[in-house]
Amino acid sequence: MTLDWAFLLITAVNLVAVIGLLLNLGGVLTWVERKQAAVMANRIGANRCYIPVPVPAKAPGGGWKVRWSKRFTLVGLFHAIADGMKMLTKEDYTPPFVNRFIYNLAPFIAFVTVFATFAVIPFGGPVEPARLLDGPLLSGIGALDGARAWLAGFFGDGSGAARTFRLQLADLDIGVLYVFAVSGTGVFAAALAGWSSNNKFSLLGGLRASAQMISYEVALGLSVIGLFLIHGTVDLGRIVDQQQSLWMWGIVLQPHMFFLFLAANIAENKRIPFDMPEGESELVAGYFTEYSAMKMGMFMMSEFVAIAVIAGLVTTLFFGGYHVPFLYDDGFHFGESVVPLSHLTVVVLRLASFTLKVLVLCWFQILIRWTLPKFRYDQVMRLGWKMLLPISLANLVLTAGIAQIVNAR
Amino acid sequence: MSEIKTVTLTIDGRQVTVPAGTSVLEASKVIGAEVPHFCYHPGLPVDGNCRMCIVEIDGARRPPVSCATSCADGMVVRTDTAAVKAIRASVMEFLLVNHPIDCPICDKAGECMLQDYYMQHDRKRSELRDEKVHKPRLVKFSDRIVFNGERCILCTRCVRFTENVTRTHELGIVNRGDRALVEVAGGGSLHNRYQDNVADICPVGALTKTDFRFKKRVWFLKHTDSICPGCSRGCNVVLDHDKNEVVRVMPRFRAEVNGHWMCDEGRDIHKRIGVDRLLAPRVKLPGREGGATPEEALEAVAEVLGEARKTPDRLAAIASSWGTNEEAFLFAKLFGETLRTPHMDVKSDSDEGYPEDDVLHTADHNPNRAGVVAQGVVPNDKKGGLGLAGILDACRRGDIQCLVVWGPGLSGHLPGGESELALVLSKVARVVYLGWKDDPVARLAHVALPTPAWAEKDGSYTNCDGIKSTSVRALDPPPGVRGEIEVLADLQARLKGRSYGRTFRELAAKTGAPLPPRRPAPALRQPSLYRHASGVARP
Amino acid sequence: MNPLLNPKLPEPAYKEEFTAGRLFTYRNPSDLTLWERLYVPEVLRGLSITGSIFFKNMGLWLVWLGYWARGRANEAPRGAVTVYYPEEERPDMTKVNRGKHILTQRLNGEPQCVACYMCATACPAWCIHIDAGEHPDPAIEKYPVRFDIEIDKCIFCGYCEEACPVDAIRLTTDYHTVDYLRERMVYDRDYLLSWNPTKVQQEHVYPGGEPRRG
Repeated sequence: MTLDWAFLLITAVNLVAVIGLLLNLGGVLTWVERKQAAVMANRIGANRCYIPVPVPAKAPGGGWKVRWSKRFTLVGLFHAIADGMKMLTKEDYTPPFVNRFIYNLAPFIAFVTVFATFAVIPFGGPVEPARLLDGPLLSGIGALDGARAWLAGFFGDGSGAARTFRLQLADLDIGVLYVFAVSGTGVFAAALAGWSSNNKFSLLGGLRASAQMISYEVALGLSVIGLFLIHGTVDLGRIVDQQQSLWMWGIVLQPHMFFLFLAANIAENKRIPFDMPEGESELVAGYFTEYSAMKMGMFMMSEFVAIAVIAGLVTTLFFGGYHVPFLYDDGFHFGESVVPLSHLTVVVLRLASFTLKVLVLCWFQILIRWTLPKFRYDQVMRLGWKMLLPISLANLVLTAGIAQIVNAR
Repeated sequence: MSEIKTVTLTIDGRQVTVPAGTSVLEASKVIGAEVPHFCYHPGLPVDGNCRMCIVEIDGARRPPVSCATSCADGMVVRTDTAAVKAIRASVMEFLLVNHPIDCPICDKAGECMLQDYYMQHDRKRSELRDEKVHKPRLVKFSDRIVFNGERCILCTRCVRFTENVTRTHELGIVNRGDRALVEVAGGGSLHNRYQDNVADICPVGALTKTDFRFKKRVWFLKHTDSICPGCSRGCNVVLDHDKNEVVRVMPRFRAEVNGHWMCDEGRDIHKRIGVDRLLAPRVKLPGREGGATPEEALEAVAEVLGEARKTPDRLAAIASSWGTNEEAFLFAKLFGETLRTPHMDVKSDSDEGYPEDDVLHTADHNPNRAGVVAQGVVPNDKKGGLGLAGILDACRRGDIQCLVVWGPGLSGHLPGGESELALVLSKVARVVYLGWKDDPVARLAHVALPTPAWAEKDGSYTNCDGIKSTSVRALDPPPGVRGEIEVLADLQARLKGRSYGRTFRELAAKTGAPLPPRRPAPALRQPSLYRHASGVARP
Repeated sequence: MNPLLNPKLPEPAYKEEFTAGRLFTYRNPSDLTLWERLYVPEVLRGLSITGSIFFKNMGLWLVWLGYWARGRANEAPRGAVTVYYPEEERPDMTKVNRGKHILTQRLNGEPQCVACYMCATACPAWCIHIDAGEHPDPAIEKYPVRFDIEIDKCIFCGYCEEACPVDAIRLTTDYHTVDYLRERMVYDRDYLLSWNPTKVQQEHVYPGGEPRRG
C-alpha cells in the first residue's frame, strides 16, 4: 500500500488552517472581549499597548533625532500579544499542597478537548484541487499551465478523474456524537483542576463545574436531535450539505432550538451568565484559583477558543455551515438564472462565509456575556433541568411526529 | 484599741457610714457620686478655694464646699440638684474667663480636669467681651517643670505640695485678683526631688514636665501597672507607653507604699531600658564560639551547669537584686535544690541614684533585695556556704570552678572595679552571665544570656517594708529574648530538677504575689510600613 | 429659600448615563409578567439595548475616523464618557474633590500647624505621623518638627481637614497621587509646604497665638 500523499497534504493544510484559525481567534477574542465591553459601556477600553515606532523629531538644538513614538497601538490590539507574553513569562507557581500530576494535567485536558472538538466541523466547501486554477481569468494565463498540470496529476485518482476533498479535519460518520463526547470530557478539566488544587474555593468551583456541565450536556444533546431527525444523519458534513437551501437552515427549521443550544453551549463553556464554577464574587476564581502563569492562561485560552468552537458548531448546525445562500458549486442560482463562478471563487466565498458567520456568532456570545446578569446557582440548575430539558424533549417528540408525517406522505 | 467612731449620713438618698472626720466629698465617692473638684487632692491638706465641689446640705444656710465639710450623723446631702449644677456652671464660667482655649497644644488635654468638667457642667461659649488677661507663658520653674501662667486656675495644689509633702516651700502665689500667679519663691527654681508631682497634680496644663512635653498626646498612651525599680521603696507606678516605648511614668496610689507620689529619679529610670542592652546571647566555650541562637546558648548553660553539678562546692551563684520574687524563687530552687551549691548570695545591681531622704527614697537602689533573700537566695550556713564577699575571695583564690552571675553591677562590689573583675574572673573556669545589661561580666563570661528589663516582664517585688507589689509586662522584649522565669524553668527541666511552673501566674501562688487585674488587650493598631522618607526625590 | 423644600440636585456630569428622570421601583419577590418570565424575549430586548449602544458607538467611531482623516480629530463627537487618562482629564472634576494634602503657612512661611495631633487622631487610616517640637516663639509654642502623610494609605476622607483647629491642613483637588516608588508616597513636611502653598490671612492664625482679640 502506498501513501496517499494528496490526502496527507490536504489534511496538513486543514490542520494548519484549523489550529491557526482557532489559536489566533482565541487570542484576538481576548482583545475583542475587552474592547467590545468597553464600546458597549461607552468606555474607551484597552488602548495602552504599543509597539515603539521610530519617527523623526526635531532636536532641541536644531537638527533631527529619532524619537520612539508610542502612538502605534492599533486600537489596543497588541494587548492580546502583551497578555500572552505576560502569561508565558510570569512565575509559574505550583502550590506545595496540590496533587502535582493531576494539577498539571487539568489545563491540558481543557485545552485539548476544546481543540479536538473542531476537528469534525467542516469549515469550507468541497474542493477539487485540480480545478482550482480553472476559471475565466486564470485559465488565460499560460504561465500557470505547469502548475495546473501538476495539480491534476497529484490530486488525480490515477484514472484521470479529479478527486474531491472536504475542508474538514476528520469526516466522521458519528459527527456530532463525537463533539458531545469530546466536549463532555472537558468536565474532567474543571473537576480535576478543582479537586487537585486542594483548596476549598477550587473544590467548590470544580463541583459546580461538573454538576453544571453534566446537567447542560443533556439539554445540549437533546436540543439538536430534532435537527438530526430532519436531516436523517449525525454526520456534520452531510448536515451542512443538506443546508444548501436557505429553507433547510437550522435557524429556519428549529429557531427555538437555536436559543436552547446556544444557552446550553454557553453553560458548557462556563461563561456569564453561567459562570458559577468561576464565580469571581464568591469563589475567587473557582476551579482555577490556584493556577498561575500559562496554566491559568490555558484555562483562559480554552475558554476563548471554546467561544470560536461554539460559534463554528452553531454555524454548522443552524446557519448552513459554509453555505452562502443561492451559491451552488457552479455559481449563484437565482431561480432559473445562473451566475457562473469559477471553482476557486466558490471555495473562497464559502470559506469567507463560514469565517464571517463564526465571527458574528463570537461577537454575539460576547454581547450576551456583557449584557446578562449572572444566574444564581439554583437558577442555573432549575433552568437546566426544568426548562431546557423538558422543552428539548417536547421538541423532540413534536419533531419526530412531524418528520413521521412528512416522511409518510 | 479604741473603736473607730463612725457616722451615718444620707447622700443622694442613700445611707453611707464613714469614719468620723471624713469629708463629704470623700463620703460621696463611696456611693459613686462624683463631686467635681479642682483644688481638693486626697494627698494634700484641704484648701477649699476652687468652690467647685459645692453640694446642698439640708439645714445649711448656703451650699457648702464638700471637701471642707466633715460628715455628721444624720446629715442629708444632695450632690446633683439643679441649684448645685447651676453653681458649678457659674464656677466653671469664672474659671474659664481667663483660661486660654489652647487645648490643641496643651499636653494636659485628654486628662485635664477643666476640660472634663467643662464638658460635664458648662458646655457653653464664653460671654467675655474683653481681652483675656495675659500672663507669662513659658516660665521655667526648673529643668523639669515649665509653667504656663495663663492656663493656671490658682488651685494651689502645687503650692500645698511643696509646703506639706516635700516641705521645701519653693512655690507660692504672688499678686492678687486676676494678676495672681504661682511663682518660685525668691526667683530661684524648684529644687526638690519630687517636683514632677506638681505637674501630675496640676488639674490643668499650667505645669508641664519638660520630659513629656509635646512627646505624645495622652490618648495614644497605653497604661500598664508596674513598679519603680529605682530604690527599695518600690513605688507603684503606671507606665504610659506607646509603640513599645515608655513615654512617661506616673505614680499609682498605694497607701502603704508610696501614697500618691514618686520621685523624679523614678520618672527617668525608664530611659535606662534602651541603654547598654545585651541583645543577643554570647557563647565563648571551646567548640561553641561565635554567634549562638538563644536555644544553643541555653544548651551551653545547661552543659556548663551539668558539669559543675559534680562539684557543688566549687559552684557559686550570685543573684540580682533587681530580679522578681518568682525568678528568685526559681533561682534558689535551681541552685540550692537541683545543683545543691552552698554558695549563693544576692548582690546590688545598681548603686546610682538619689541619696536617702525622709519622703520616699531609700538608700538601697535595688528594688527587690528583701524579696530575693526571702525566696531563699542566701548562703547555706550548714554546709559552709560563702556570702558575696566570700565568693569573690574564693574566686580570687581559684576555688570556684563555675560562677553564675545574674544581673549587672558585680564590678561595683570590687574595689578595683572592672580591671579587678577581669582578674578575678580569669581564675574561674566557667562564668555564666544572665542579665539585661551589657555588663563587664557579660563581656568576660563564657556564656551570656540576654534577659528582659523590668518593664518587659511580669513579676512581683518586695519592698523595704516587706510589702509585695506586682509589675505587669508593658513592653515587648527585644526579639529572641526570653524571660528569666522561662530560662530558669528550662534549665531546671534540662538538669532534671523539679518543675515549679513556667509562667508568672503559676509561680505567683508560691511567692504570694498579688495578682494584677487582667486588663483588656489594647486595641490592635495596624503595623505600618511607614518610614521617614527624607532625602527621597519628589516627583 | 429652604433647600429642603425645593431640592435641587446637582446636575449629573453626563445626563444620558442616568435614568433620564424615570424612576424604577424594584420589588422583591419580583412580580414578573408571563412575557418577562419567558426570559428569551426580555433577553433579546436587553441584547438589543446593549447592541444598539455598541453600534451607535461604532458609528461614532466611523465619524471620528472621518474627522481624523481631515486632521480634526479633536472636534469629533465623543462616544466614550471616559477619558484617556493621563493624557486627557475630565473637565468637569468637581471643585470640592478631595485630593492631595497641603500644609498652609504663616505669613513668614512657617507651617500654620501647631502639632496638636488632631488630624492624626481623627485619621481612620493612621497615615499621618507628627513629631512636635518647642517653637522658639512662646506665642506659637508648639510646631511640627516632622509632619509625614503616607499618601498611599490615605483614603481621602477629609477628616484631618475637619479636625484641624487652625486650618493648617487642607485637601486640594489634585488627585495625581500615583507613583512608582512607595518611598516617594510619604509626603514630608517640606513637600506638603512647598507645593502650591497657601498663605492664610492674619485673622486665621491660631487663637492661642498673636494677635488675639477677645
